[in-house]
Parts: sequence; C-alpha cells; structure tokens
Amino acid sequence: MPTVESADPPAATATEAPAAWWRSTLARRYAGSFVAVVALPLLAYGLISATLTWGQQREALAQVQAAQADASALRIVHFLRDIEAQLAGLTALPWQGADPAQRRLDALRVMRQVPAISDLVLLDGEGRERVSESRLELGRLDSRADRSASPAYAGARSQRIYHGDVSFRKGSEPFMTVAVAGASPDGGVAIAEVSLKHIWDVVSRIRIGEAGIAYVIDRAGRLIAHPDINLVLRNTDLSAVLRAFEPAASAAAPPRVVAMAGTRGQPVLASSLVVAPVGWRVVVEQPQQEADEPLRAATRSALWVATVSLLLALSAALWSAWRLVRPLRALAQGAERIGAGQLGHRIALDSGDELQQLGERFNAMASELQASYGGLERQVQERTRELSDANQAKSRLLAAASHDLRQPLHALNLMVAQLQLDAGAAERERLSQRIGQAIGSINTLFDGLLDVSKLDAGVIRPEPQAFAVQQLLDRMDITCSAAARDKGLELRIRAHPAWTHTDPVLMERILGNLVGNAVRYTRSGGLLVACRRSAEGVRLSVWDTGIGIAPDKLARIFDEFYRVEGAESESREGLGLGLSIVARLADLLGHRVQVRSVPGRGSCFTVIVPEVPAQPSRPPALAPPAPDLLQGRAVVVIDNNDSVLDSTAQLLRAWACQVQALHGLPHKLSVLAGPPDLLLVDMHLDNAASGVAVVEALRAHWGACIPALIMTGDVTLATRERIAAAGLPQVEKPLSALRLRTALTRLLQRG
Amino acid sequence: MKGQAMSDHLHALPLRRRELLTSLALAASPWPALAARNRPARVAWLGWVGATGLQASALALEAFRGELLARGWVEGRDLQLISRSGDQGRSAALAAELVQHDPELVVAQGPMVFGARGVVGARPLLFNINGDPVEAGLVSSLARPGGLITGVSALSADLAGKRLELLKEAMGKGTRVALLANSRHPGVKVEREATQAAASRLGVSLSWHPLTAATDLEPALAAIAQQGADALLAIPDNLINQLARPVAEFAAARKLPTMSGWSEFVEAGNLMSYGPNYEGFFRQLATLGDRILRGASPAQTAVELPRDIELVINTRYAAAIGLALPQGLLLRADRRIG
Repeated sequence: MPTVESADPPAATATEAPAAWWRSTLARRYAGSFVAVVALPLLAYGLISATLTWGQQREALAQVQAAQADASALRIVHFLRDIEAQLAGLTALPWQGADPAQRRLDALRVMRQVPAISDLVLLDGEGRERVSESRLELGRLDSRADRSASPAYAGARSQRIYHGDVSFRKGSEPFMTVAVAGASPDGGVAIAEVSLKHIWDVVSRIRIGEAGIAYVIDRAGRLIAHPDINLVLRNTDLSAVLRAFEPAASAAAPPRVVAMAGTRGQPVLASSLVVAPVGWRVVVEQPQQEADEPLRAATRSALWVATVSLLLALSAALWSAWRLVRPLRALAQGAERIGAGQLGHRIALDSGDELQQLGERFNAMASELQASYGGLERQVQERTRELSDANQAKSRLLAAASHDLRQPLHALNLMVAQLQLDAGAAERERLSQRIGQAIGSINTLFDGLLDVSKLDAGVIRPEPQAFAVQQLLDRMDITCSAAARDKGLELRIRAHPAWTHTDPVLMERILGNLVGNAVRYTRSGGLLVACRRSAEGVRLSVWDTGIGIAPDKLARIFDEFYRVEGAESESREGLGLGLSIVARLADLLGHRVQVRSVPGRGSCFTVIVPEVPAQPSRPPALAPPAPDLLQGRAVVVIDNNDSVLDSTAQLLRAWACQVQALHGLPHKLSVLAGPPDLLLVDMHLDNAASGVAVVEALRAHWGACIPALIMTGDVTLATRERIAAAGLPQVEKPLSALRLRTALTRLLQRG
Repeated sequence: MKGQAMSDHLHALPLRRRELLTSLALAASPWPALAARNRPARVAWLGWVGATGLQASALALEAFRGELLARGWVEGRDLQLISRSGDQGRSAALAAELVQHDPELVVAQGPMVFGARGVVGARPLLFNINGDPVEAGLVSSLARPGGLITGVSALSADLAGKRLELLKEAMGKGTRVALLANSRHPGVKVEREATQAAASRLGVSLSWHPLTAATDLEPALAAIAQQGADALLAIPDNLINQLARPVAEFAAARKLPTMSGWSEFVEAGNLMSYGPNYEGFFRQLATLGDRILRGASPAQTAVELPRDIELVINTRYAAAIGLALPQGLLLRADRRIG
C-alpha cells in the first residue's frame, strides 16, 4: 500500500481558529492610523489653544485686577479724605480768641462722626495744645503744651496734610497719625490718631470675582488692612509681597499679574497699586484656581472633545475593519473549503461592494470546478462502463470462441483417429479433405478473433488508394461464387465503371463478410452485388433474399457475436463476428454502412465509398498471384515448440526450401550454415529470448540484413509494436500454409 | 462692633477650602478618615455665673452661638455645643467634665479660663476676659499668643481711667466716688489701681467697696450710704451686672450717677456704661472660634481687643435723678436708653 504523502500546505495555520476580528491586523492598523489621524491634530490644536488662552487669560486677569485695585485704592483714599476733611473743619476757625470748651465740643462731635479717630488733638497756630480728647486716655483742655516739635505738626504745617507711619499699639493694633493744618496758620493743626481697624469696613466689602480679596500693606510691608482682621492684628509681615511688586512698572507699562502664595495660604494671582497719598499698597489677590478656571474649563472641554473624538475614531476604525475582515475571512475560509474539496460550498457575502463581487467570482469558479469534476466523473463513469462492457464482451468472446473451437477440434480428433485406423487411400483422401475443412474453420475462427482484436488495438492501418470498383466486384466473383453455388444460390454481380479512393484489401474484407453473411442467411433465392452512384458517393450494395432481420434487431446485428435467430444450424459458422468486423473496418475507413431488411423477404447491406474520377493508367491495385520464389531458398526456422517447428520445416521442405530448424539461438552461431535467404523466427523463445533479438543477432553474425519474418501467437499491442519497431514483418499464429507462403513470398519480393 | 456678620465671601472661601480638604482626604485615605471628618465640630462652653444665676452666661452663649451660625455652623449638622456653667471654684471640675466629650474647642468665660487651662490639655482654649491676658499669663503677646490659648479682652483696665473721667463729668461738682467691685474678679486689682491713678489726676477720692458674693451688696451699699458718695463706679464684671438693679435703685434713691463697663448695667437702670458692646464682644469671640474650628492654630490667632467702645447713657435715669448731663457727655454718647 503506497503511503500517500501530502505536502504540508503553508496555509495550514489558517485552519486554526483566527483571532477575533477586533484583534486582526487590519483592525490594529486601522485603529492606529485613525487614532493618529484624529489624535495628532487634536493634541496640536489643544496645546496651541491652551497656550494662547493662557496668555490671553492672564492679560485679561491683569486688566480686571488692576481696575479692582484702582477701585479699592479709591475707597481707601476716600476714607482718608473723609477724615482729613473732618480735621480740616476743626482748623477752619482761628484760635485767636477762641473758646477751648467750645472747640472741645467740636472735637467731640468729630470723634462721634468718625469712629476711627481714637485720639484728637487740636493745636493752635503756635503749636500749643488746646484740646486733647481720647477714647481711652483722659482728656486735657487748654493745656497749652508745646507740641510744635512733633512731626505731625511740622508735617501738617509744611504740607497741610500729614500722614504718619503706621504704628501698632500693644504690638497689635494699627494706628496712624493724620494731621491737617488749616488754610491759615491761625487755624492751627488738628492731629488725629486713626485706628486702621476701621479700614476693615472698606476693605472687607471689596469683591474680586468669587473668592478674591483686597488688602493693604504699608510702606514697610506690614499688613494694615485685610478682610480677615486677625491677620492684621498678628502683625503679618508681607514685605515679600512688597518686593514682588517693587520693581515697579512705570505707569505706562501694561498691568501685570504676579503668582504668589496668598495671604490665606493658597496660590494666588495678584496685582497691586500704590495709594498715592500715604504710599500704601493695595493688593488684589485671586485664588489661582479661580483665576485659572476658564482655562481649566477650556482644557477640560478640549479633553472631552479629544476623548470623544478618539473613541469615535476607534469605533470607526474597528467598524471599518469589521466590514473588511469579516468578508475577507469568509472568503479565505470559503476558498480553503473549496480547495479542500467541498465544491458545493458557496461563499455568502452581502457587503454590496467589490468584496461581494470577489465572493461571487469565487462561487462561479467553484461552480465551474464542480461542473468540470462532474463532467470528469461522468466521463470516468462512461469509460468505466465502456471498459467493463468491453471486458464483458471479451469474456463472451472467449466463451464463444472456446465453444466454437471445440467443434472442429472434436471433428479433427475423430478424423485423425480414423486415419490411424488404417484407412484406405480413398478414405484418406476424403479424410484429408475433411481435416483441411476443419482446420479451415478453426483458421477462420482465429482470423476473425484476430481481426477484431487488431481492429480494436488500432493496429490495422488503412492504405487508401484510388482504384476501380470493378476490381472489388471481380474479386467477389472469384472468392464467393463457389460458396454461393454450393448452397444453390444465384450470385449476380453487376459491373460498374466507377472509381473510388479507399483501402482495397479492407474493402475486400468488408464486402467479403457481407456476401458471406448474405450466403449464410439465405435459404433460397440469390444474391446481388451492385453499385450505384449517389450524392454521397458510390453505394456498394449486397442484396439477398434471406430470412431478413426484424427492425428492432437491426441495431444489434453489428454487435459482436450477435446472430439472428432462425439461421440454420449448419450454417452457423463463424462467431457472428462478421458484421462487427464490417462495422469496425467501415469505421476505420470512414465509410458508412447501411442496412435495410424485410423479415422473410431479404436484406440489403450497403457501404458508401467516395467516388473519384477514373484514372485509367493506374495499374491494378490488387497484386497478381506471386510467382514461386521460395524454391531452392535457404531458410532458418527457429521455434521453441517442437510440433510447430517440425511441421513448419516439413512444409518449407515441401515447398523446395533448404531448411535449418532450431529450437533457439545456438550458443555457437558458427554451427549454422552460411547466410540463409530467409529467417523465420518465433517471437517468444525459451529463456525469455525474443525473436527480435535473435534476428538481430543472426543478422549481425552474418553481417547482412537478411529478410526475416516473425511468427507469434502473442497478439498484444506491446509485442506487435516491439516487432514493428524493429522493422520486422510479422504473422500471427495460427496461420494457413497459404498465408505463410504469401508472406514469405512477399518478403522475398521486397528483398 | 455692631454684631455685623463677616462678609459672605470670606467665610464662603474657607468652607470651600474645607470641602477641598475633605475631598482630598476622601481621595487620599480610606473609610476611617471619612468617618472622623463627618462628625460635627464639638465646642465646649464653660460659662461663668459668678456667685449665682445663669443669666449673663446665657446671654453670652447666645451671642456666641448666633455668630457661629451666621458663619455657617449649623448646630446639629456642623456644630455640637456642650455647656456647663458654674463659678470659678468649680472651673477645673467642670472643664474636666466637658473634656470627656472630646471637644475640638473649649470656650471659657471670664475667670473660668484659669481653671480650665490645666485640664483641657492639647485642645484650643478661648477666653474672654476683662483684663490683660498678657499680665494674666494666658498669652505671651497679644499679636502672637504662642500657645493653645487665645481669645478676646475687654481691656477694662485701659478704660478704667476714662470711666472715672466720664463719671466725674456727670457728677459735676462732686469729688467722692464709691468704687464697687467683685473682689474675686481676677483683674480687679489692676483695675483698681488704674482707677486710683486716674482719681489722683482727676482730683477725685475713691472709697473701696469690694464684694465677694451677692450677699455682700447690702452691707456695701449701707457702707456707701454711711460714708457718703457723689457717684458710684462699679468695676465691670458678671457679678456687678447681676447686681445692677439693686445698685440702680440705691443710686436712684440717693440721686447718684453710676458708671460701669457693660451696657447691661445701664439697661438694668443705671446711668452710664463705657465699654465694649457685650453682644459684639462675644460675636468677636465667635469669629475667633470660627477661625480655630476651620483649622487656624491658637498660637497664630491674635488676641482681639474690642474695636469700638460705646458710651451708653440712660437719659431717663438722668431725668429721674434730676441730673443735667453736660453737652460733652451727650455728644459722646453712642447709645441712649430710655
């Protein structure tokens, strides 16, 4: 049992379960490219817009804060101006001749108006204290103490309004001295101690955005006002903030925002402005978180957009991949299945695009494959059937042959026995005739078999030539008239002048068989062989007045061994091969055979041959009988069968040949006498020697191309071809003496 | 201080910060932190009732609570207030009792702070006293208390002189002033000295009448009546506030101008008071409490003094005793009652 080795297909891996479609290479590639296409521009846009927005937002914030600082500063200035105005009122009147008690009441009134004033001192034009009132200290009236040296007095006198530095009572409470001088020196100077805790009202009401505040730092960096008053009381030192703003921009420069740690412990963005009269700084601060909120919101929304876009891109990528990968997988699997032999599998795709068309092409291809396989299968089936039919036919042939062979053989047995029983000369004469007849029928039988097998093997090659039809008709006359006379039938042959182009020998066989059949199946009456011209060619017909053939059996008569029923038993010669040989020969020559028959009346068989113009100068196609060339020839006969060898040698000697008969090629070729004129060698010799090789050896030995004839009982195509390939003529056993003689003569003729 | 609530945005921001901190805490730490944070802030109030009665303490507590509420501390949800009141002698014991409730902040009224101080341990302690907390040893400085104790002070001693001056103005020609005081009041000594110094400068003589309990009033007033006085000055404290009415009746009978530190004194029927607004004072205390509850450290929270001192005059009393108040006094009056 040969092992079937299947080549490992490279696509074996494809038969494993493929990865899920979303993890396919296509999906990954699409996802990668979509995401890159979407993500990169978005990122770039986001970064650029964030940077731009940041810058813009900072500028906007600086503007807003500057405005608010301005407003806060204004309020503080207003607060101070208020106090100054009140103080100015107290210096409006001259002290000359003034009533201190009355002035004291004025001062008390002012203190009531301005809760911020903690202490109030009125000095006259010389700087002497006239009124002193306080919320904490004991008051003094008209003490006339000289206060002209105090910086407040001096400052007020020189600049009209004096602002002292901020001081912290008890280390905690911020106070400031404000002194105002009257329009005229006579009015004196009013000096007030202002509790800066009261600025808290001003500062705490300032709103910056949602959580922004404003506060005030003095020149030294100490916090003096803040919405969280406790920070002020703590003496919070914000000189760092001061320094942050100190590289003071000129008034023309754009306002700027500084990031710093805020007063309430969170990072802030701050702007500042100097309150001109007192040199304090108003600082506006906003928590950075709040200030950056718009930017953060923009970033958040950009991130959202980016995320959503990325998700959309991914979905689109996966969807595209799915749209492609699914049909592609279906195609791949379908192709695999079809390749594996499931020709009935069809790929179902409905994507409505080129992939679907591809799938349809695949399906068309599969259908064609399926059809051609089906066709092939059918052809195979037919051939098989034909072969089995032929086999059966052969078997039938053998069966029939062996059956038909027994008759003559049996007759031969009897006749030979009779001969051996010392028969008289006349008896021997009769017996030898009868033996001849028996042998003749065996020969005929074998001839028929041989013909069929030769025809089937395609060995017979027609040699068409132009010749007159009359030749065929004459031959018919010669060969068949005797048989017809014997049976008491009339044989008429009509002459015809037409010429035809075909193989005369084979045509003779055809006609001969037809006439033979006609004779066999006609009980009484006659036969007619005639020609007629027609549009298709020359119609050679054989008419008989025989038993006829029923219409339904007309087709079957050309089958091998078919015999029409009703034929007489003694005329059951042959195997019924005659007509099948006719059919095969006609087929080989390309001629049509027709039959018409009326049961009980007779039949007519017609062969249609092509007509050609007459060529009178052509020599007759059929060769005249050969002269006796065999007389006196030296022949070497080699056959491994004793009886065949013996009888062949005797026959040759009877024909006046000088015969050397051998079983096989002798070891020493020198024992053979001289170069013979002919070699007659059997094909299958002992020790698997081949006749062809023997002929070649002998030829080589004598150095001459001696005419050689191979005899063989092997009718296989292979043997025949081997012999033909060696260029040697061959005859098949059994063959009649006449045939042998003819073949040898022809051989000698050819030289 | 007129009981004005702090600006909205100020307390809104710290709340947001609290929320931020809460969310950060939630984000950064597991369940136990969450549970701890969600507990309402516990504040312990140690009230001082002087010798008897709860009234003054209750008023103070109300002011304190009200201001915390205005700042966003809803009782029950954000705030849990536990209070005990008693006199100074029981301050330590009561403080210990309060501490068992694990408060985040302890507020001690008046002299109760001295007893509470040693008991509250590491908890922030708020005081509200009349005297100087630096001198009392509660803080190292007003600006930077430096420890776990801070609070508000009424700077009564600073006002002592002024009170006398105003009273003298009301007296007119009189020179004898009876000085009434709760001798158990921690700052009484300082205040008496300040008053005495001012008296010397003003040319006024002082007679000293200390009280230890409400029962001491009768004999003190009898002594004043016997010694004779042109006016009566009471060193302000809870006890005096509680005894304001009998004093007023006594003074009215003798047509004496009276002066103390708290407006309650005047509302009870006396002539004048010069000092911080009582309610405002405790509201100010509440702002400090709010700060501390929101995470400020007491060491970093300055002691606050009252921003405004008010002069409260009972004009009906003046009319009743046939007193013509001088212009200067009337001009300075911040509030008139009656």
